[in-house]
Amino acid sequence: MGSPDAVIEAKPEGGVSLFPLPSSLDRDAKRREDDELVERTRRGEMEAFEALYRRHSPAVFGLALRMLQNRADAEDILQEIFLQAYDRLPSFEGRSAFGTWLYRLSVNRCLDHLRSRGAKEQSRNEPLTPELPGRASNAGLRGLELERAIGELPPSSRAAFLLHHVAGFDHKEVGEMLGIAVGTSKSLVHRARTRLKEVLAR
Amino acid sequence: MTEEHPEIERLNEYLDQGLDPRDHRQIESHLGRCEECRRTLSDLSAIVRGASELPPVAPPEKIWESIAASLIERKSFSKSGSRSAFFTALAAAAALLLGVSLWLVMRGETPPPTNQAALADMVTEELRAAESHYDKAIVGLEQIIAQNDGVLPQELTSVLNQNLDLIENAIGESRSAIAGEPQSTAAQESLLQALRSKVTLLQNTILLINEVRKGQGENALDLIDEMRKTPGAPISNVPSNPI
Repeated sequence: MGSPDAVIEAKPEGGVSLFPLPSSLDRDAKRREDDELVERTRRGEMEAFEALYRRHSPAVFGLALRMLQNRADAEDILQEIFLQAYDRLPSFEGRSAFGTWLYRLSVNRCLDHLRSRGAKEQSRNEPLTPELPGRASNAGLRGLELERAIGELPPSSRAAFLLHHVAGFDHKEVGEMLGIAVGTSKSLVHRARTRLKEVLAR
Repeated sequence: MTEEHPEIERLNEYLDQGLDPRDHRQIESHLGRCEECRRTLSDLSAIVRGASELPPVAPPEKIWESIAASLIERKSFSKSGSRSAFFTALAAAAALLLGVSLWLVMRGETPPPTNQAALADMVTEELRAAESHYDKAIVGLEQIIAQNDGVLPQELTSVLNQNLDLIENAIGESRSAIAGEPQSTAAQESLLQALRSKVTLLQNTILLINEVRKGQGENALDLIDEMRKTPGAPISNVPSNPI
Protein backbone atom coordinates (compact mmCIF):
# COMPACT_ATOMS: atom_id res chain seq x y z
CA MET A 1 0.00 0.00 0.00
CA GLY A 2 1.07 3.54 -0.53
CA SER A 3 1.16 4.53 3.12
CA PRO A 4 4.35 6.37 3.94
CA ASP A 5 6.73 5.75 6.80
CA ALA A 6 5.15 8.64 8.63
CA VAL A 7 2.04 6.63 9.29
CA ILE A 8 3.72 3.94 11.28
CA GLU A 9 1.09 4.23 13.97
CA ALA A 10 -1.74 3.89 11.53
CA LYS A 11 -4.20 1.14 12.34
CA PRO A 12 -6.75 -0.34 10.01
CA GLU A 13 -10.37 -0.25 10.85
CA GLY A 14 -13.44 -1.79 9.31
CA GLY A 15 -13.31 -2.13 5.55
CA VAL A 16 -9.89 -0.55 5.40
CA SER A 17 -8.36 -3.77 6.68
CA LEU A 18 -8.60 -5.04 3.12
CA PHE A 19 -5.25 -3.37 2.59
CA PRO A 20 -2.05 -4.60 4.20
CA LEU A 21 -0.23 -2.42 6.71
CA PRO A 22 3.39 -2.71 7.79
CA SER A 23 3.85 -5.28 10.51
CA SER A 24 3.89 -4.05 14.09
CA LEU A 25 7.58 -5.06 14.26
CA ASP A 26 8.36 -2.73 11.36
CA ARG A 27 6.34 0.02 12.99
CA ASP A 28 8.11 -0.40 16.30
CA ALA A 29 11.53 -0.41 14.64
CA LYS A 30 10.73 2.72 12.65
CA ARG A 31 9.39 4.46 15.71
CA ARG A 32 12.55 3.62 17.65
CA GLU A 33 14.68 4.95 14.80
CA ASP A 34 12.62 8.14 14.71
CA ASP A 35 12.91 8.55 18.49
CA GLU A 36 16.67 8.25 18.23
CA LEU A 37 16.81 10.80 15.41
CA VAL A 38 14.63 13.19 17.41
CA GLU A 39 16.96 12.85 20.38
CA ARG A 40 20.04 13.47 18.23
CA THR A 41 18.36 16.49 16.64
CA ARG A 42 17.70 17.90 20.11
CA ARG A 43 21.43 17.55 20.77
CA GLY A 44 22.05 19.76 17.73
CA GLU A 45 22.90 17.22 15.03
CA MET A 46 21.81 18.60 11.68
CA GLU A 47 22.41 15.18 10.09
CA ALA A 48 19.72 13.63 12.32
CA PHE A 49 17.17 16.29 11.45
CA GLU A 50 18.00 15.83 7.79
CA ALA A 51 17.35 12.08 8.21
CA LEU A 52 13.94 12.83 9.78
CA TYR A 53 13.20 15.11 6.85
CA ARG A 54 14.21 12.45 4.31
CA ARG A 55 12.01 9.84 6.01
CA HIS A 56 8.89 11.94 6.41
CA SER A 57 8.90 14.72 3.82
CA PRO A 58 7.40 12.63 0.96
CA ALA A 59 4.35 11.80 3.10
CA VAL A 60 3.96 15.37 4.31
CA PHE A 61 4.50 16.79 0.83
CA GLY A 62 1.89 14.39 -0.61
CA LEU A 63 -0.58 15.53 2.05
CA ALA A 64 0.18 19.22 1.41
CA LEU A 65 -0.15 18.84 -2.37
CA ARG A 66 -3.47 17.06 -2.05
CA MET A 67 -4.77 19.47 0.58
CA LEU A 68 -3.68 22.67 -1.11
CA GLN A 69 -3.93 21.61 -4.77
CA ASN A 70 -1.11 23.97 -5.60
CA ARG A 71 2.52 22.96 -5.92
CA ALA A 72 4.14 26.26 -5.02
CA ASP A 73 2.00 26.57 -1.88
CA ALA A 74 2.74 22.95 -0.95
CA GLU A 75 6.49 23.57 -1.24
CA ASP A 76 6.25 26.67 0.96
CA ILE A 77 4.13 24.88 3.51
CA LEU A 78 6.45 21.87 3.60
CA GLN A 79 9.33 24.15 4.47
CA GLU A 80 7.28 25.93 7.13
CA ILE A 81 6.12 22.65 8.64
CA PHE A 82 9.63 21.27 9.08
CA LEU A 83 10.91 24.55 10.51
CA GLN A 84 7.93 24.59 12.87
CA ALA A 85 8.56 20.94 13.75
CA TYR A 86 12.17 21.76 14.54
CA ASP A 87 11.12 24.65 16.78
CA ARG A 88 8.60 22.49 18.60
CA LEU A 89 10.80 19.44 19.03
CA PRO A 90 11.66 20.45 22.62
CA SER A 91 7.96 20.13 23.53
CA PHE A 92 7.52 16.83 21.66
CA GLU A 93 7.01 14.32 24.47
CA GLY A 94 6.94 11.17 22.39
CA ARG A 95 3.46 10.11 23.51
CA SER A 96 2.60 9.64 19.85
CA ALA A 97 5.04 8.64 17.12
CA PHE A 98 7.01 11.47 15.56
CA GLY A 99 5.24 10.77 12.24
CA THR A 100 1.80 11.14 13.84
CA TRP A 101 2.86 14.34 15.58
CA LEU A 102 4.24 15.68 12.32
CA TYR A 103 1.03 14.83 10.47
CA ARG A 104 -0.94 16.75 13.10
CA LEU A 105 1.23 19.82 12.55
CA SER A 106 0.98 19.40 8.81
CA VAL A 107 -2.74 18.99 8.36
CA ASN A 108 -3.51 21.87 10.68
CA ARG A 109 -1.01 24.10 8.90
CA CYS A 110 -2.65 23.20 5.58
CA LEU A 111 -6.12 23.96 6.96
CA ASP A 112 -4.91 27.31 8.33
CA HIS A 113 -3.47 28.08 4.94
CA LEU A 114 -6.72 27.20 3.18
CA ARG A 115 -8.67 29.33 5.64
CA SER A 116 -6.39 32.30 5.06
CA ARG A 117 -6.54 31.74 1.32
CA GLY A 118 -10.31 31.79 1.75
CA ALA A 119 -12.36 32.73 -1.24
CA LYS A 120 -9.28 32.99 -3.42
CA GLU A 121 -9.04 29.20 -3.35
CA GLN A 122 -12.04 28.90 -5.60
CA SER A 123 -10.38 31.01 -8.26
CA ARG A 124 -7.16 29.02 -8.33
CA ASN A 125 -7.10 27.05 -11.49
CA GLU A 126 -3.51 25.89 -11.57
CA PRO A 127 -3.63 22.28 -12.74
CA LEU A 128 -2.29 20.09 -9.99
CA THR A 129 -2.93 16.61 -11.20
CA PRO A 130 0.04 16.34 -13.58
CA GLU A 131 2.24 16.96 -10.51
CA LEU A 132 0.72 14.12 -8.56
CA PRO A 133 1.67 10.54 -9.19
CA GLY A 134 -1.72 8.90 -8.75
CA ARG A 135 -1.89 5.55 -10.46
CA ALA A 136 -4.58 3.15 -11.49
CA SER A 137 -6.03 1.08 -8.69
CA ASN A 138 -6.98 -2.57 -8.92
CA ALA A 139 -10.61 -1.61 -9.27
CA GLY A 140 -9.86 0.42 -12.35
CA LEU A 141 -10.22 3.83 -10.70
CA ARG A 142 -7.57 6.05 -12.22
CA GLY A 143 -5.36 7.65 -9.59
CA LEU A 144 -5.22 10.92 -11.48
CA GLU A 145 -9.00 11.13 -11.62
CA LEU A 146 -9.12 10.55 -7.90
CA GLU A 147 -6.44 13.20 -7.25
CA ARG A 148 -8.50 15.68 -9.25
CA ALA A 149 -11.73 14.76 -7.48
CA ILE A 150 -10.10 15.09 -4.03
CA GLY A 151 -9.41 18.71 -4.94
CA GLU A 152 -13.14 19.32 -5.15
CA LEU A 153 -13.84 18.27 -1.55
CA PRO A 154 -14.43 20.89 1.16
CA PRO A 155 -11.22 21.34 3.22
CA SER A 156 -12.40 19.56 6.39
CA SER A 157 -13.69 16.52 4.47
CA ARG A 158 -10.55 16.51 2.35
CA ALA A 159 -8.38 16.52 5.47
CA ALA A 160 -10.30 13.71 7.17
CA PHE A 161 -10.38 11.62 3.98
CA LEU A 162 -6.63 12.02 3.32
CA LEU A 163 -5.68 11.28 6.92
CA HIS A 164 -7.92 8.22 7.11
CA HIS A 165 -7.67 6.63 3.68
CA VAL A 166 -4.34 7.85 2.26
CA ALA A 167 -2.28 8.10 5.45
CA GLY A 168 -4.12 5.26 7.18
CA PHE A 169 -4.94 6.82 10.56
CA ASP A 170 -7.98 5.55 12.43
CA HIS A 171 -10.89 7.85 13.28
CA LYS A 172 -9.73 8.37 16.85
CA GLU A 173 -6.37 9.63 15.60
CA VAL A 174 -7.98 11.73 12.87
CA GLY A 175 -10.32 13.20 15.49
CA GLU A 176 -7.38 14.08 17.75
CA MET A 177 -5.46 15.65 14.90
CA LEU A 178 -8.37 17.77 13.71
CA GLY A 179 -9.82 18.49 17.15
CA ILE A 180 -13.13 16.80 16.34
CA ALA A 181 -15.12 13.86 17.73
CA VAL A 182 -14.65 10.33 16.37
CA GLY A 183 -18.20 10.41 14.99
CA THR A 184 -17.50 13.67 13.20
CA SER A 185 -14.41 12.19 11.60
CA LYS A 186 -16.44 9.21 10.35
CA SER A 187 -19.14 11.51 9.06
CA LEU A 188 -16.63 13.73 7.22
CA VAL A 189 -14.98 10.69 5.62
CA HIS A 190 -18.33 9.25 4.54
CA ARG A 191 -19.38 12.59 3.09
CA ALA A 192 -16.07 12.80 1.26
CA ARG A 193 -16.51 9.33 -0.25
CA THR A 194 -20.05 10.13 -1.33
CA ARG A 195 -18.96 13.42 -2.88
CA LEU A 196 -16.03 11.74 -4.64
CA LYS A 197 -18.38 9.16 -6.09
CA GLU A 198 -20.53 11.98 -7.50
CA VAL A 199 -17.55 13.88 -8.91
CA LEU A 200 -16.07 10.76 -10.48
CA ALA A 201 -19.39 9.88 -12.08
CA ARG A 202 -19.57 13.18 -13.97
CA MET B 1 -43.87 -3.49 -4.53
CA THR B 2 -40.56 -1.74 -5.11
CA GLU B 3 -37.98 -2.14 -2.34
CA GLU B 4 -36.56 1.10 -0.92
CA HIS B 5 -32.79 1.62 -1.35
CA PRO B 6 -30.75 2.21 1.82
CA GLU B 7 -29.26 5.69 2.17
CA ILE B 8 -25.69 6.00 0.91
CA GLU B 9 -24.58 6.83 4.46
CA ARG B 10 -25.70 3.32 5.48
CA LEU B 11 -23.75 1.81 2.58
CA ASN B 12 -20.71 3.77 3.78
CA GLU B 13 -21.17 2.34 7.27
CA TYR B 14 -21.64 -1.14 5.82
CA LEU B 15 -18.36 -0.72 3.94
CA ASP B 16 -16.62 0.25 7.18
CA GLN B 17 -18.30 -2.68 8.96
CA GLY B 18 -19.79 -0.12 11.31
CA LEU B 19 -23.35 -1.43 11.43
CA ASP B 20 -24.80 -3.66 14.12
CA PRO B 21 -25.21 -7.30 13.00
CA ARG B 22 -28.95 -6.98 12.28
CA ASP B 23 -28.55 -3.89 10.06
CA HIS B 24 -25.51 -5.45 8.42
CA ARG B 25 -27.53 -8.54 7.43
CA GLN B 26 -30.37 -6.35 6.20
CA ILE B 27 -28.08 -4.39 3.87
CA GLU B 28 -26.37 -7.57 2.74
CA SER B 29 -29.68 -9.07 1.86
CA HIS B 30 -30.68 -5.95 -0.08
CA LEU B 31 -27.39 -5.97 -1.94
CA GLY B 32 -28.11 -9.51 -3.04
CA ARG B 33 -31.20 -8.27 -4.85
CA CYS B 34 -30.22 -4.74 -5.96
CA GLU B 35 -27.70 -4.19 -8.72
CA GLU B 36 -27.80 -0.39 -8.34
CA CYS B 37 -26.75 -0.55 -4.68
CA ARG B 38 -24.09 -3.14 -5.50
CA ARG B 39 -22.70 -0.67 -8.04
CA THR B 40 -22.74 2.18 -5.51
CA LEU B 41 -20.93 0.02 -2.98
CA SER B 42 -18.42 -1.02 -5.60
CA ASP B 43 -17.75 2.65 -6.47
CA LEU B 44 -17.21 3.53 -2.81
CA SER B 45 -14.88 0.55 -2.41
CA ALA B 46 -12.88 1.61 -5.45
CA ILE B 47 -12.46 5.08 -3.95
CA VAL B 48 -11.20 3.62 -0.68
CA ARG B 49 -8.82 1.29 -2.49
CA GLY B 50 -7.66 4.02 -4.87
CA ALA B 51 -6.94 6.37 -1.98
CA SER B 52 -4.91 3.75 -0.14
CA GLU B 53 -2.75 3.39 -3.25
CA LEU B 54 -1.96 7.08 -3.68
CA PRO B 55 1.78 7.26 -3.11
CA PRO B 56 3.90 9.73 -1.11
CA VAL B 57 5.44 12.48 -3.26
CA ALA B 58 9.15 13.30 -3.08
CA PRO B 59 9.66 17.06 -2.69
CA PRO B 60 12.29 18.89 -4.74
CA GLU B 61 15.75 18.98 -3.18
CA LYS B 62 15.71 22.78 -2.94
CA ILE B 63 13.24 22.56 -0.04
CA TRP B 64 15.72 20.82 2.23
CA GLU B 65 18.44 23.23 1.17
CA SER B 66 16.20 26.16 2.21
CA ILE B 67 15.34 24.52 5.52
CA ALA B 68 19.01 23.82 6.27
CA ALA B 69 19.99 27.36 5.34
CA SER B 70 17.23 28.81 7.58
CA LEU B 71 18.26 26.70 10.55
CA ILE B 72 21.90 27.61 10.10
CA GLU B 73 21.05 31.27 9.78
CA ARG B 74 19.33 30.98 13.14
CA LYS B 75 22.50 29.25 14.41
CA SER B 76 20.41 26.30 15.53
CA PHE B 77 23.26 23.92 14.86
CA SER B 78 26.17 26.10 15.93
CA LYS B 79 27.53 23.55 18.40
CA SER B 80 27.43 20.47 16.21
CA GLY B 81 31.02 20.43 15.02
CA SER B 82 32.47 20.32 11.54
CA ARG B 83 29.23 19.49 9.81
CA SER B 84 27.80 22.70 11.20
CA ALA B 85 30.72 24.63 9.75
CA PHE B 86 30.08 22.90 6.47
CA PHE B 87 26.46 24.04 6.33
CA THR B 88 27.27 27.49 7.69
CA ALA B 89 29.70 28.14 4.88
CA LEU B 90 27.30 26.75 2.30
CA ALA B 91 24.55 29.02 3.60
CA ALA B 92 26.89 32.01 3.59
CA ALA B 93 27.90 31.25 0.04
CA ALA B 94 24.24 30.88 -0.93
CA ALA B 95 23.44 34.27 0.63
CA LEU B 96 26.29 35.92 -1.25
CA LEU B 97 25.17 34.36 -4.50
CA LEU B 98 21.66 35.60 -3.85
CA GLY B 99 23.18 39.06 -3.56
CA VAL B 100 24.77 38.67 -6.98
CA SER B 101 21.51 37.39 -8.49
CA LEU B 102 19.62 40.36 -7.08
CA TRP B 103 22.28 42.63 -8.47
CA LEU B 104 21.87 41.08 -11.90
CA VAL B 105 18.10 41.58 -11.76
CA MET B 106 18.32 45.13 -10.44
CA ARG B 107 20.94 45.97 -12.99
CA GLY B 108 18.36 45.51 -15.74
CA GLU B 109 15.95 47.83 -13.95
CA THR B 110 18.38 50.71 -13.32
CA PRO B 111 17.63 53.74 -15.54
CA PRO B 112 20.49 54.33 -17.99
CA PRO B 113 22.73 57.35 -17.32
CA THR B 114 22.67 60.12 -19.90
CA ASN B 115 26.31 60.13 -21.03
CA GLN B 116 28.79 57.43 -22.02
CA ALA B 117 31.36 58.22 -19.33
CA ALA B 118 28.78 57.92 -16.57
CA LEU B 119 27.55 54.67 -18.10
CA ALA B 120 31.06 53.24 -18.15
CA ASP B 121 31.64 54.24 -14.52
CA MET B 122 28.37 52.70 -13.41
CA VAL B 123 28.98 49.40 -15.21
CA THR B 124 32.51 49.15 -13.84
CA GLU B 125 31.28 49.83 -10.34
CA GLU B 126 28.50 47.23 -10.61
CA LEU B 127 30.83 44.65 -12.09
CA ARG B 128 33.25 45.21 -9.23
CA ALA B 129 30.43 44.68 -6.72
CA ALA B 130 29.34 41.43 -8.42
CA GLU B 131 32.91 40.20 -8.59
CA SER B 132 33.36 40.96 -4.94
CA HIS B 133 30.27 38.89 -4.07
CA TYR B 134 31.51 35.95 -6.12
CA ASP B 135 34.99 36.25 -4.66
CA LYS B 136 33.62 36.13 -1.12
CA ALA B 137 31.51 33.08 -1.94
CA ILE B 138 34.52 31.40 -3.51
CA VAL B 139 36.72 32.09 -0.47
CA GLY B 140 34.07 30.57 1.84
CA LEU B 141 33.70 27.47 -0.32
CA GLU B 142 37.44 27.03 -0.69
CA GLN B 143 37.81 27.14 3.08
CA ILE B 144 35.41 24.24 3.52
CA ILE B 145 37.20 22.22 0.88
CA ALA B 146 40.55 22.92 2.55
CA GLN B 147 39.12 21.78 5.90
CA ASN B 148 38.07 18.51 4.29
CA ASP B 149 41.35 17.84 2.55
CA GLY B 150 41.90 14.11 2.06
CA VAL B 151 38.23 13.09 2.06
CA LEU B 152 38.07 12.65 -1.72
CA PRO B 153 40.37 10.18 -3.49
CA GLN B 154 43.62 11.74 -4.71
CA GLU B 155 42.95 11.04 -8.38
CA LEU B 156 39.53 12.72 -8.26
CA THR B 157 40.89 15.71 -6.33
CA SER B 158 43.54 16.13 -8.98
CA VAL B 159 40.90 16.09 -11.77
CA LEU B 160 38.76 18.62 -9.91
CA ASN B 161 41.82 20.85 -9.48
CA GLN B 162 42.62 20.59 -13.20
CA ASN B 163 39.07 21.70 -13.98
CA LEU B 164 39.37 24.55 -11.51
CA ASP B 165 42.62 25.61 -13.21
CA LEU B 166 40.78 25.77 -16.56
CA ILE B 167 38.14 28.02 -15.02
CA GLU B 168 40.86 30.12 -13.37
CA ASN B 169 42.42 30.61 -16.81
CA ALA B 170 39.05 31.76 -18.18
CA ILE B 171 38.69 34.19 -15.26
CA GLY B 172 42.20 35.54 -15.91
CA GLU B 173 41.57 35.94 -19.63
CA SER B 174 38.25 37.73 -19.00
CA ARG B 175 39.91 40.10 -16.55
CA SER B 176 42.65 40.86 -19.10
CA ALA B 177 40.01 41.54 -21.75
CA ILE B 178 38.15 43.90 -19.40
CA ALA B 179 41.40 45.68 -18.54
CA GLY B 180 41.95 46.32 -22.28
CA GLU B 181 38.35 47.24 -22.98
CA PRO B 182 36.48 48.09 -19.75
CA GLN B 183 33.12 48.66 -21.46
CA SER B 184 33.08 45.35 -23.30
CA THR B 185 29.81 43.66 -22.36
CA ALA B 186 31.06 40.36 -23.79
CA ALA B 187 34.13 40.44 -21.54
CA GLN B 188 32.04 41.31 -18.51
CA GLU B 189 29.57 38.52 -19.20
CA SER B 190 32.44 36.12 -19.77
CA LEU B 191 33.99 37.02 -16.40
CA LEU B 192 30.70 36.59 -14.54
CA GLN B 193 30.10 33.26 -16.30
CA ALA B 194 33.57 32.03 -15.35
CA LEU B 195 33.01 33.09 -11.73
CA ARG B 196 29.63 31.35 -11.71
CA SER B 197 31.29 28.19 -13.10
CA LYS B 198 33.86 28.27 -10.34
CA VAL B 199 31.22 28.64 -7.65
CA THR B 200 29.20 25.77 -9.16
CA LEU B 201 32.24 23.50 -9.28
CA LEU B 202 33.19 24.34 -5.69
CA GLN B 203 29.63 23.80 -4.46
CA ASN B 204 29.45 20.44 -6.22
CA THR B 205 32.82 19.49 -4.78
CA ILE B 206 31.48 20.16 -1.30
CA LEU B 207 28.34 18.12 -1.95
CA LEU B 208 30.63 15.34 -3.18
CA ILE B 209 32.71 15.52 -0.01
CA ASN B 210 29.51 15.33 1.98
CA GLU B 211 28.29 12.21 0.18
CA VAL B 212 31.67 10.50 0.57
CA ARG B 213 31.74 11.38 4.27
CA LYS B 214 28.29 9.86 4.67
CA GLY B 215 29.49 6.75 2.85
CA GLN B 216 26.96 7.32 0.06
CA GLY B 217 29.19 6.16 -2.80
CA GLU B 218 26.29 5.73 -5.18
CA ASN B 219 25.04 9.28 -4.59
CA ALA B 220 28.58 10.53 -5.12
CA LEU B 221 28.81 8.72 -8.46
CA ASP B 222 25.45 10.20 -9.54
CA LEU B 223 26.70 13.62 -8.57
CA ILE B 224 29.91 13.18 -10.54
CA ASP B 225 27.79 12.17 -13.50
CA GLU B 226 25.75 15.36 -13.12
CA MET B 227 28.95 17.39 -12.81
CA ARG B 228 30.09 15.99 -16.15
CA LYS B 229 26.99 17.55 -17.69
CA THR B 230 26.73 20.80 -15.68
CA PRO B 231 25.67 23.52 -18.13
CA GLY B 232 28.42 26.11 -18.43
CA ALA B 233 30.87 24.20 -16.23
CA PRO B 234 31.08 20.53 -17.19
CA ILE B 235 34.01 18.73 -15.61
CA SER B 236 36.19 16.62 -17.86
CA ASN B 237 38.80 13.83 -17.61
CA VAL B 238 36.99 12.10 -14.74
CA PRO B 239 38.70 8.77 -13.89
CA SER B 240 36.76 5.59 -14.67
CA ASN B 241 36.47 4.65 -10.96
CA PRO B 242 36.36 8.04 -9.26
CA ILE B 243 35.27 6.88 -5.77
